[in-house]
Amino acid sequence: MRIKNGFIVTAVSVLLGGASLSAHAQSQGVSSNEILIGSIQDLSGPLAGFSKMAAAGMQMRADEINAKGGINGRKLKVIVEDSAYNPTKAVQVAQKLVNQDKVFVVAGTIGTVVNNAAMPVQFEKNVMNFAPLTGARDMFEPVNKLKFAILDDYYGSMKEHAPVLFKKVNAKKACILHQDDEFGLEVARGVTDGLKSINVPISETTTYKRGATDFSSQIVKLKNANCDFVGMGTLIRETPGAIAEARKTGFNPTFMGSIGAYTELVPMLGKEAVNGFYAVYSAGIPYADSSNENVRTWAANYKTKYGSDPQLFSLYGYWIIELLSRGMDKAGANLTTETLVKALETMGPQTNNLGVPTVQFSDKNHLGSSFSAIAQIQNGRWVEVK
Amino acid sequence: MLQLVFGGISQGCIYGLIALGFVLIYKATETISFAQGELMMVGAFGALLLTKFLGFSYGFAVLTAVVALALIGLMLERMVIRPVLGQTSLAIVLITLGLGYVARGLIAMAPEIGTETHTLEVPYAGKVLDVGGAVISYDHLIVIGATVLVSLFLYLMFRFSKVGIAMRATSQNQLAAHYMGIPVKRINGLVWSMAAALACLAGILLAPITFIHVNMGFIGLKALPAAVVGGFTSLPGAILGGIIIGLVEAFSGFYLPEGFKEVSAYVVMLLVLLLYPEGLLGERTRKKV
Repeated sequence: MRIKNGFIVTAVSVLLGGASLSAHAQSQGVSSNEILIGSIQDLSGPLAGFSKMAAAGMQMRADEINAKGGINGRKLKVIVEDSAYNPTKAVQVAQKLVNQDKVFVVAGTIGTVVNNAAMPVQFEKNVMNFAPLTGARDMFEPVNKLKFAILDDYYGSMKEHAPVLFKKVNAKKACILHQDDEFGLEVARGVTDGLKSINVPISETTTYKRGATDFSSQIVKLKNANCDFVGMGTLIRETPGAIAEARKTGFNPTFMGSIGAYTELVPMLGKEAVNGFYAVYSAGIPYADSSNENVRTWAANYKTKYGSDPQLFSLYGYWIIELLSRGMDKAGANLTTETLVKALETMGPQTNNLGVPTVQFSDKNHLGSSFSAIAQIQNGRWVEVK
Repeated sequence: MLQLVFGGISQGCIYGLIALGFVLIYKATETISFAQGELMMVGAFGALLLTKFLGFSYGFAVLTAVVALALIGLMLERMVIRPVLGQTSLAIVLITLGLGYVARGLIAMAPEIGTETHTLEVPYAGKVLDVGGAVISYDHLIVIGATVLVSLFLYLMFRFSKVGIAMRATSQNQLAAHYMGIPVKRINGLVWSMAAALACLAGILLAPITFIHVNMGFIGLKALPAAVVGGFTSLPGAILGGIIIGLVEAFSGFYLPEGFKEVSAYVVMLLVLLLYPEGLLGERTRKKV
């Protein structure tokens, strides 16, 4: 009798233990009817212009997917928090998303320094950092199970295109203006190494603090160095701010920006002063009057939903959720971080009909796309440069 | 070189205009108002609203915005500051800091407009003047010109007008002024509204250079060293301090290694606090207890 009881008790506890073990193996943020996706945006700081669009694009795709029943019966819930482009705040909101909201994955976080601050918090709880909105190499190097990036990196793209453009405009002397943080440094390194390959040294480098609005002394410095080519590690406000300052003082070199400066906001703020500005781009701006009919339709849908035209970052946000959901769909009903990683690495090349470059991950490569090209602002509009 | 000087002076004039507000309030009520930067931001957004959405002409918009901010300043004094007079000065400082947060939050809440960066349509956009090899943009010239005009106006007002003399009296000794029949509370309200109007003007002048956005008020933090350097009790000191800080920043940005530009203002402030605690033009005051 006793042996039988003992056997039953042991069997039951093993079963229970096994059940709880598999419950532990399940990732946070995934329930039978919902998947929680976190995103750290800048809703109130220098990158607010990008973030509003990105969040809207993400929500639009999530709503479309939910309207069709979700992914394997689970609805997507996107939770957006504000970092104000401040790494201290980024840590706080990352903790909120990971430990309080218990999100499954963090996607589309904007800002190199913000991602670098948030990732340790996420990785402690096995929460993936998917497709951050930054081209810093930290986002995919060294290969980390939890890091997946889709934007061609600042360093690589500037290294590739700076010498090409330098030769194209017959420049003689090169200088750099960059934000004095990791983002700016990545752009500067790319320009430096790229121009080194054609034996062009950097004659002068000046910096500014993230959020700064006065560039007068930096421009004077660059002008004094007589450069005719300036690599810009700048973002939304600083690009038109610095270029306008330069034009005012009669300093008119060729300005070349990174993907960070490829945005409709630059010609909108800079007006005539920024005509002629070059920048690297990855996905093209979805102008509402694009020659691509699918883009026109998508832009019209966006306008119906939100009442304003989409911008480039709306397209990024939309694509990020689309890509993520394809991975989650492939991972199937048993959705965990591990199954998602496997699905993303094995799902092959992915693209959509809105002009985004093809993305493909593998177990050795978590940077999905390294396509980039150069565009120039002509008459207030970005035009591809062949 | 001349370029640096002009750039420094014009940036310094912005600091000076905001510092004027600091000093005005401090002289009258011995409190430091940290809301000046945000009042500047609100003023700039006000001008944006008037020109972009209501179609006012630039000049009219400036006038309206300045008057509106003056009224807001009056209101703030009446509703937020007066009830806490008599509390520790720390309390009032914290309240002004809080006002700043509230202003930023409210503006950021404005749908579509609040979190975006905007440009202000100004009639002198893009124009430049050639002065002996240095190119000065009209943005900077207008700033310097406006500061000169404002300083002149304030000087004349404080020297010759009844209101100005009354303000000087209350800033020296509130009790004595009260005994002389000066309506001290009303004068304080007037001081706050003047400071707000000055901040508004600074914001409108700054807008073409730095764009209008909810965080543009942080430049107000640089105006604090300007006020300290010039002397918290001296109005011409505020302008002088501003110009000094502006020039120091311009030159350190050019001659010193990267990064020094950002800290130069505070280094100067620390130096002045160590060597001339009252500031360059401040008065030595001692209170007999």
